[in-house]
Amino acid sequence: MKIYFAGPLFTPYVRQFISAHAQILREHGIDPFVPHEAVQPAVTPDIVDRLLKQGLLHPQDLTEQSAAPSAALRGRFADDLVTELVRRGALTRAQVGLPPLTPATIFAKDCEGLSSANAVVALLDGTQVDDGTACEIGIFYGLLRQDRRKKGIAGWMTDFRGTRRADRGWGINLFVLGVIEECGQIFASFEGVLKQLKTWKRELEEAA
Amino acid sequence: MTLKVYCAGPLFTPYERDFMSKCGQVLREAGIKAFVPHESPKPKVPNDPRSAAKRVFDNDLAAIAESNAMLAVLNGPEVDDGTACEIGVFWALKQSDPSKKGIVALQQDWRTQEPPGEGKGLNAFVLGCVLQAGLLCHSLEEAAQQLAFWQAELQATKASTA
Repeated sequence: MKIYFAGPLFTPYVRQFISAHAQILREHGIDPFVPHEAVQPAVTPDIVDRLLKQGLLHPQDLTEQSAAPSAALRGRFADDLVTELVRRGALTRAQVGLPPLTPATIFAKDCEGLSSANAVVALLDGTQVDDGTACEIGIFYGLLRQDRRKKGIAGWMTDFRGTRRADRGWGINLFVLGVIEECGQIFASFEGVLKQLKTWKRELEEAA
Repeated sequence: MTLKVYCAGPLFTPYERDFMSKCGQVLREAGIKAFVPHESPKPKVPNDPRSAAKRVFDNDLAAIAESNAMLAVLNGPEVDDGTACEIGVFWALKQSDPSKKGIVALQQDWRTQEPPGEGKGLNAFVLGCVLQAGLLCHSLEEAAQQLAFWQAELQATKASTA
């Protein structure tokens, strides 16, 4: 079963949180599409060498990383470092030799992930549901209406402003809540999310 | 045939509702049928077992399903989550409904504009979705013009198939 992992992925800690839980899903035989991992550039050692030669990357940037015990690990650290520098705007995608990232390319890539997903996990934290996440919830629901392989949406709320209102609509927009409850539900724990996904996975396997 | 437009936007304060009603009014003056969620009468059903969310969902989803276009007001520090979700639903239904012409987004908020605006820009996924199915406008007049164009297109198609 494939799932699309939606959430506000704009800070390192939210990305880490989402990536760590995506890893747990993989350990349970569920295949997650994680948007920030999907657009992560493949930074090869050649690219790192070129950036060093051009003076766009400095040897001291890599000091910590070069202490890694294997070439593969060093490669991965450099990869993460370059990705982070691009996110911060310290390096441009063109300098790294990556294709441009535009609203059109981001939408196309993530939409592909949504189209092939059997379910969505949506992290709903924040003062409102993140607008990108809300849009993805809407798209998935619209596609689900005509696709029996799409099982539903598992909302996940860790934000205490929401969880303490769990019995009164979780403090989120009524239309968004209505869409989620039409094809799923909101959970305050990841265990709840995982249990729901396993049920859907079993249903898919039984239907196959 | 009249173009039916679903007007999506934040409608949580009196002045937001006034603005959404104004959008609906401008479209109606151009001969377009506008659905503005907060204006729609909510039928009173005695002992309605549905939750508040389910009532809003039923009401708004039916209107999105039968609309030919969407006017999405993106004003706010980010796109309102309800609006963003409605944009997504409209986009997905449009994929299998040729009577859906597209999405016109209206953005006037300083906080989501690139410099000299002071914001971080619009969410790239939402913007990508809007641009894939329509366009971004910065004035109501411009948005109304595009919707009037789709209305004319729709009428031309109807005339040629009649």
